[in-house]
Amino acid sequence: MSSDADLIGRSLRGDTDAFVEVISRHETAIGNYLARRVGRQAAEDVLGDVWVAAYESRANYDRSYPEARPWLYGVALNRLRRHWRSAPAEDPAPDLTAVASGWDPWPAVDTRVDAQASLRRALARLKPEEREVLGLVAWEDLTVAEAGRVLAIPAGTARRLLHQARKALREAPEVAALLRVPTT
Amino acid sequence: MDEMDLMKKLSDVPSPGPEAYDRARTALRAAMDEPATTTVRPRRRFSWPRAGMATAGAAAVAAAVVAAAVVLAPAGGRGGPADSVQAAPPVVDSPLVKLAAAVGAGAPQTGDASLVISTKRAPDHSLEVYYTIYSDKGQVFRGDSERTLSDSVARNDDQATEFNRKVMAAARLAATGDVEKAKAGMLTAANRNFLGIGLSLAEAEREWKQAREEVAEQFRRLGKEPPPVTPRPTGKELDDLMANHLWSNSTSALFTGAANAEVRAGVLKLLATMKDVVTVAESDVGGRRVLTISAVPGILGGDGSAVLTLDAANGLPISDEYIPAPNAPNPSKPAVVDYQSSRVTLADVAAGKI
Repeated sequence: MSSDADLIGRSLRGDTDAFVEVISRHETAIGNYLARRVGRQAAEDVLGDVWVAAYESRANYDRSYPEARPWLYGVALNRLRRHWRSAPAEDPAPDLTAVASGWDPWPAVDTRVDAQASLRRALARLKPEEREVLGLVAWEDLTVAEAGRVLAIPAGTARRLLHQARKALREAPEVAALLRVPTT
Repeated sequence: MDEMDLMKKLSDVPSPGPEAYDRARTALRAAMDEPATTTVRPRRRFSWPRAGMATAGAAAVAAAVVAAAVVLAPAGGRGGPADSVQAAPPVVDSPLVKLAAAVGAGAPQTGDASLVISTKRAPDHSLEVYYTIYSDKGQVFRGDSERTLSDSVARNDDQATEFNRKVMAAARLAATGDVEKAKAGMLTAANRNFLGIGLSLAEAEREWKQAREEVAEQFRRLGKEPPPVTPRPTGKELDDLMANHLWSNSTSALFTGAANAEVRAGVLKLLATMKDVVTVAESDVGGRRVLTISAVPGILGGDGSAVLTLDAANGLPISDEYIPAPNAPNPSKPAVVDYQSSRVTLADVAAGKI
């Protein structure tokens, strides 16, 4: 089976079906990634934009990486940022003012996970980049190095951010309580 | 249990529905339609034509409208520039025709496939190298290294697209059969017959209308306003667009299978028909006789010219250069691709002997 990198190379030479094959391999993962961050409805609205953005930027794909999923997460993240920034002013993120980067999808996540309110509060205290690395590793099953690719940061930086995030979570009183009491 | 296990418990969310995935793919296909209908091959470095594009955000699909908005007047109709392009015969005293004859009469080919190695020099002086095999049976194998090319051949991963098949068939027909028929095949290789080759006026009008409707639908699917109606290109504009397709598709065939004598001879014959927009000169470069074939900016969108350099002895491509026009409103960067072509056997390539 051809690698994603091979297929992207073929698409650059005019084989559009090859790029559709890449999308077919990863559409469920990317769809779920979007849904985890902005909810199902918004994810459905953004998904097509992600594929078009990926197609238009495929010439920049580093084909030394055979697996394109981390790159697609990065494209999706950039589209989410645009989506968030273009959201109507009357419907802002609840704590957007606290986000240094001007964009933070996590409040939307938080509101959907009432059953884990304690963990949610602890997550809210993490820095956005710490939460993003944590989410990519815990939810998307990426390696730390792959999470670094998604965020365009060195692997060492991603590793440090993950370490900081996990440490902060473990030391948060509400999370420590959850870890002491088995949950279902 | 640790904090990562807790995190995983938050990962379950309602996934997008199947219809959402279908819609997303439709949007992707619509975006992909742009290169398929505007530029006759991906490597072309300009947007055809830029003039008249309504909005930057919609330019991709808008370009498709312009490309689709070209219909050749029917043969035997009112005549004019379009007809003259379609009917221009090869110029028998052209150095390209003479070279084509020499290529066709050359020694039997060794091996069973053509290998073309293209090396593109990026502005930062880095090199991009691509390998293309065109087998005598019509298969196409590609790779961005000797290893990936070898793997592709070993797996019999034929990557020939419909476009590849059409341009190679047209080139081979030009070498051995009816050049005018071959030219029509080359002009319509990239997509359906939106140039209206060989259609009656009524059929050409229907083709034009259908093309416009398809593009407008693409705009609507993307949530964009369809572009304004544009008149059907005629006269020089039509001539230039047809010449663009012939140049681009013919050279694409050459760069895919240059070491196939039939393909090479056919491409030379087709380029020889473009006497009004292409100039040919012979010179000596480093002790090597070369033919330089220059295409005027008018057939390349107006922002630059192209120079294809061939070995004057055998017609093999040496380089393809794009030169931006000095005062172009939308200049592209200069670019040079160098070519090395040779005959190989698929068995050797599969075994890594390249």
